Amino acid sequence: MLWMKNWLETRFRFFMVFTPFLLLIGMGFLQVGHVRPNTLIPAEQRLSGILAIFTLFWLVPGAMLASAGIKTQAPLQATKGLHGSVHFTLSLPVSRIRLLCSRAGLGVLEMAIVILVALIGFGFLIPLQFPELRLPPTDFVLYGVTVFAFDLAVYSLSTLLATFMDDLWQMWGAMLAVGAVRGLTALVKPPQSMDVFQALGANSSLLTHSLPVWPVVLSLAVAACLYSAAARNVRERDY
Amino acid sequence: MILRLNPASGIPLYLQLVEQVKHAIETEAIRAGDQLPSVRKMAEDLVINPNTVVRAYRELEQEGIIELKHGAGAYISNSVVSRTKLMRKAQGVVETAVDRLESLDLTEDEVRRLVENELAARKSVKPAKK
Amino acid sequence: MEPWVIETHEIEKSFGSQAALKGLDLQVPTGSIFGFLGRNGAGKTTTIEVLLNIVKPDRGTASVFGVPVTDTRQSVVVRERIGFVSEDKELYPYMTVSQVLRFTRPFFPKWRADLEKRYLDMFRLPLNKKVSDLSKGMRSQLMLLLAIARGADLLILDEPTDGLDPAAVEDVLRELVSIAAANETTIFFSSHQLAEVEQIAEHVCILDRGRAVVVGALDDLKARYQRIQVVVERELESPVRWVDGVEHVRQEGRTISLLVSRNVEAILHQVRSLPGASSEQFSVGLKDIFMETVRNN
Repeated sequence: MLWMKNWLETRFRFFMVFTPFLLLIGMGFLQVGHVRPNTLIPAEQRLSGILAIFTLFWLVPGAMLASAGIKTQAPLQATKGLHGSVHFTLSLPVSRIRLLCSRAGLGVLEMAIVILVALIGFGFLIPLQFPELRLPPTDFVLYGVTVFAFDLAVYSLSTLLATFMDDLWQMWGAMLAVGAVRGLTALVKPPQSMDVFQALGANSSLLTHSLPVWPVVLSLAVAACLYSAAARNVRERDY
Repeated sequence: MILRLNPASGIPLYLQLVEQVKHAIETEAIRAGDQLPSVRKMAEDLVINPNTVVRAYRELEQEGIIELKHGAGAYISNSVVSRTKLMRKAQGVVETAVDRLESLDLTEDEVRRLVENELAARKSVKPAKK
Repeated sequence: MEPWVIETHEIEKSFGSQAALKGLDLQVPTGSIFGFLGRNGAGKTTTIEVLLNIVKPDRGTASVFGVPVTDTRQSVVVRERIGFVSEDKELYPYMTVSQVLRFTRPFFPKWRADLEKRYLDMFRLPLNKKVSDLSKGMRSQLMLLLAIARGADLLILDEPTDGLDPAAVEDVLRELVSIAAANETTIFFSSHQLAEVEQIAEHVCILDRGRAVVVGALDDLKARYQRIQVVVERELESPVRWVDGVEHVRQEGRTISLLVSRNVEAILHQVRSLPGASSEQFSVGLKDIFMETVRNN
């Protein structure tokens, strides 16, 4: 019945993350056709600008929906992990890894749903906003893959932080860390074909019409590393 | 048979239980041939460890006060009657002794302490009984 | 069946600079009721945390049902046989009582629905109330229900009667006694309440500052430990170097009170060698043994 517990703990958080995305897309639909785009700037540039900004939103599901699954999360507020019930949970005949994975499974599923719904919204919204661009549906799928891979990495980072931090610190910590990496890429400027932030913004599938292979692979690799670090942490530490 | 044990006393619970059963026999609250409650029921009624009851019953059996019929429970021995008579005789001895001590103007507490010390002194001199 | 359901050897555990356990040896006989006593901070909860692999010991070994506690893979199977009540009695505050039951049941194939019903009725636990709305006493009772109804072979209870009124305490003790009588369930419980331990425990261990200072069968301890009260003619100038077996000495003027754990003969001999000494001997209860081995050590 771990799924029941995990759902009870995450459902408010899930809706809290889901709703803003819906609102944003809703607002997008409302203003399309009313606001005349600035035709001096080419459509590609305008789209890449919007996507670059939206990258910040994409990292929220990954950061907020993650948890290590060991400490109990209060469903409504982001409070400190409730200490006592940890002992009850750990005394159950379930391995810590199973607790971690079952919680990750639900969290990733919730994250995927948010991304999917947002992406479907995008799929209708963007062609409406940019009628001059050629945007086949496969591009949106490829873009979705990129976003999902990126968010998996963020999710894993958030999970790792959750294994030794309290709720609030973990969420903000994850978002700040990603922000810091973003800042770093702006300074250091890695090759365009490898930069995941570019792949979400200017270099995204919607503009290149192809899958940004290296960023996706890199994101997945980072996700795998961070997740196994989280697993090791959970296994080794004292509660 | 209503028993009261004092867990805080320095006397092991099983010995207290043995004494209480013997006392119940003397006051004829329970008679020869009567059945004692099962170990489980006794433990639950008194809220004490079942092994305490087991130990008490075993002690009572060794002293010939009860018989443990295999699978059928614990019964007060028929030979217990003579024990009661013996106790009545001993009662007379104690009455005389206490009368004499009180005539020496000793208080009740002093009398009690003297008796306890005498018993304790004997216990430490005698080799320990297993 | 192994003779010891719980066995530890020289367990050491520190949290930062605080040493919680400094070499603990423990052996809990299978099927017994074992009382684990100690002051606050003596290390009782840490010991339990080690046994359940919630916390890993720095040094030493511990095993439950013969399985080392650090064996991650086997420990899952072992925990199917253990019922646990934690010290803070915290469950999931957002769940209702019935949700907690629904959550816990599937983990235990030997779940006893009859015991579940029995304790729901006995403790009058409201099924639709959230755990956060329950009093501490009711949370204790709910945790007990969860621990017992799972059909465990070993109950590890950390202050199980915390927050309960005396009548409820008696109910709980009676149930524990009943469980012990019915089958081979071992009950390992830690408590502050000496009276409870004295009532139902067969074996006890007194923990003080991370070490076991008194261990044994309760009846044995009561038979072995004695108080010897000595009155001397003149107040002694220098303290007596007592032979082995004297656990604690208290001196006030011409009266010396000794708590003795063994070697009574030799000690009495030593007492008689003191000028004008008269002595009396008393048996002691658990409270005296506890107070004098744990304070002022």
